[in-house]
Amino acid sequence: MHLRFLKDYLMKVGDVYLVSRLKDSRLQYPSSGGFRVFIPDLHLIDKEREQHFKYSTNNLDLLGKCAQEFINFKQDASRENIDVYVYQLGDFMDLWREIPVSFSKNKATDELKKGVQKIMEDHIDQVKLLRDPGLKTQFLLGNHDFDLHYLTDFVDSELSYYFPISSKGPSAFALHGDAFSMLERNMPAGIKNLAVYIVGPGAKPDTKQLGQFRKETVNAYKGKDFSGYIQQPTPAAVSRMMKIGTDQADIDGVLNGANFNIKHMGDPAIPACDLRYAQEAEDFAMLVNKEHSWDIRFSVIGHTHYARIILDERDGFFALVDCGAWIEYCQGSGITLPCAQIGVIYDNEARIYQIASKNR
Amino acid sequence: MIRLCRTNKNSKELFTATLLIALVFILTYSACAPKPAAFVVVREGDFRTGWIDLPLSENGKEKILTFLIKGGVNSRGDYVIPNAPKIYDGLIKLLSDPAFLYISNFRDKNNIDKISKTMSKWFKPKIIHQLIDATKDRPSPIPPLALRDLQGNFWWIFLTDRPDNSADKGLKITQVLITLVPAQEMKQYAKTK
Repeated sequence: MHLRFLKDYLMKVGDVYLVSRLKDSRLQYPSSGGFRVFIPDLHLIDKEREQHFKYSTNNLDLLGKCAQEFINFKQDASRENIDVYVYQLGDFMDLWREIPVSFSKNKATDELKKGVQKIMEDHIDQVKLLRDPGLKTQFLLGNHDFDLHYLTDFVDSELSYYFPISSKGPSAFALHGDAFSMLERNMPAGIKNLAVYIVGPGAKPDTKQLGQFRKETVNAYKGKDFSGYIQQPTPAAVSRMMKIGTDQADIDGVLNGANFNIKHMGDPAIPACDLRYAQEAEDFAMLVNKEHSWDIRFSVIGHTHYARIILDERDGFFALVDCGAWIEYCQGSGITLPCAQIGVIYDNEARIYQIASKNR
Repeated sequence: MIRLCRTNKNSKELFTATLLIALVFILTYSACAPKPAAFVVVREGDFRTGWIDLPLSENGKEKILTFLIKGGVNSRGDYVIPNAPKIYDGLIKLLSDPAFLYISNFRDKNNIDKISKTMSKWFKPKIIHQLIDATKDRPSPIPPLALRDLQGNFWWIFLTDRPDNSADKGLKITQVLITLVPAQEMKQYAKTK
C-alpha cells in the first residue's frame, strides 16, 4: 500500500524525497489500523498579510494537488475496504500572524471571523480540497490557530487523536506538539498537569481549561511578531533526503531497504536540539499508558517545522514522528528545499516525504 | 454610607448610587462574559427552500417567490406575505444576472462583514459566515454568506465558489437557500400593548 500511495498518487504531484523511514513491528500498528496521512503546519494567511512576513506557505499548487491525490487515494482504497484517514496536524491557519489584535482576546471576535474568512477566500483551491467532504480531514488545533475552536465550521477540531481503535487500545497518538513545550523539564508542575490533562485521552477539556491552556500558550510567545521566522531561522537540517526516481527498481531499492535517517535517543553524536520533544512525548505516553493500561508506542506531531523520526530503544520502544511543515526551509544531502512534507503510517511503517516541484 | 441613610434625600442618593453600581456591575459582567458565536441555522424541510442554483432560472424564481408568499412554510396553501414579489422583484432580477453574482457585489469593499449598498435595499447590514446546516454531512468547505432580510423573517444563505476567471470580483455566488429564522421576533406587539 505504501508503494501504491507513493507511485500512483504522490509521485503524480511532484518530485518526492524520502526524509525518514521506520519499519518496525514494535510500532504495533498493523495494516488493519488503516492508512494514515498527516499534513503538518501550513500557516496560511491572506495574501495581503503575506507581504509582512519573510515566510508564507510553500508550494500552494503542490498542496492542492496533494489534497486532490489524497481524495483519489481514499476513494480507491475504500473500494478495497482499506480505511484512509487524513489529518492536518494544526497551524492550518496562522491567526497570530493574520490578526495579531486577537492574540490577547480569548473569544470569538469579529476580527477572528473576518480573518478566517479572508484566509479561506484567498486560498480557496487548497481550502476547498483540504476540507472536501470526501477527504474528511481531521484537524488538530495548533498554537497559531487554537482560536478556530470558537467557529462552527471547526467544531470537530481536537487537541489530540489516539489511534487505531482496537480491543488492545491505541498504539499511537497525534497532536500538534506545542503542548510538549509545557512538559519540558523546567516547567512548573501546574502547567505540566494542565498540558497532560488537556491533550490526554481522559475527557474533552471544558471552556475554562481551554482558556487556561490558551493563556499559557499565548504567554509563551508574547512579544514575538514572527516577521523573520516562526520556528526555523535557517533551513532545518534533516541530515539526509533521498530523491525517489520514477524507475520501478529505483523505488523498490529505496523503499524496501533498511530504516532511513532515524535519529536515536542516547546517540552522543546527535545534538540535543535534534531530539527536542522526544523525551516529553515518551514521558507523556508513559503517563497515558499507566492511566489507561494502554501500550502506546509512537507519537505523530508537527509544530517544530523539523521533519524527523526519533527512536528510543534504550529501555523499551518509543518513536516520535515529526512530520515537518509547509513553511520555511529544510536541508539534507546537500539539497535545500522549501518544506513541503507529509507523514504516512501504515502496516508498522512510518515514513516522512518531502515533495518538490517536478524537475526543479 | 451610614450617614447617607439618615435622611430621605440621602436615601435617594444611596438608591441612585446603588443602582449605578449595579448597572456598572451588570454592564461590565455582560461585556466580559463570553458571547456565544453568532451563527445561522438551516431550518427543517418545511421551513426552507432547498439549494437553488444561481443565476436563477424561471423555475428557481418561482420556487423562491412561492416560498416567500407562503411566509416560509412550504406546506401552506395561504398567502402570508402577498407582496413578496413586489418586495423582492429587484433582488430576483439581480440574482438572475450572471454578471452580478460575485461576492464583491454582495458586500462592502472595505468591510467583509457588511453588505454592499445594493444589497442594503433588502437585507440588514451584518453578514454572518457561520452556518449550521444539519442537512449536510459536513460544513461547507468555504463558509457561505448569510444575510437576513430587512423584515427579519428569513435568512438568505449564499454559497460561494472559486471564480471562473481571475477578474478582481472575488468569489462567485453559486447557490441560494432561504430559510425561516430560528424564532420570530414580533416587536410590533410590544408597541401595541
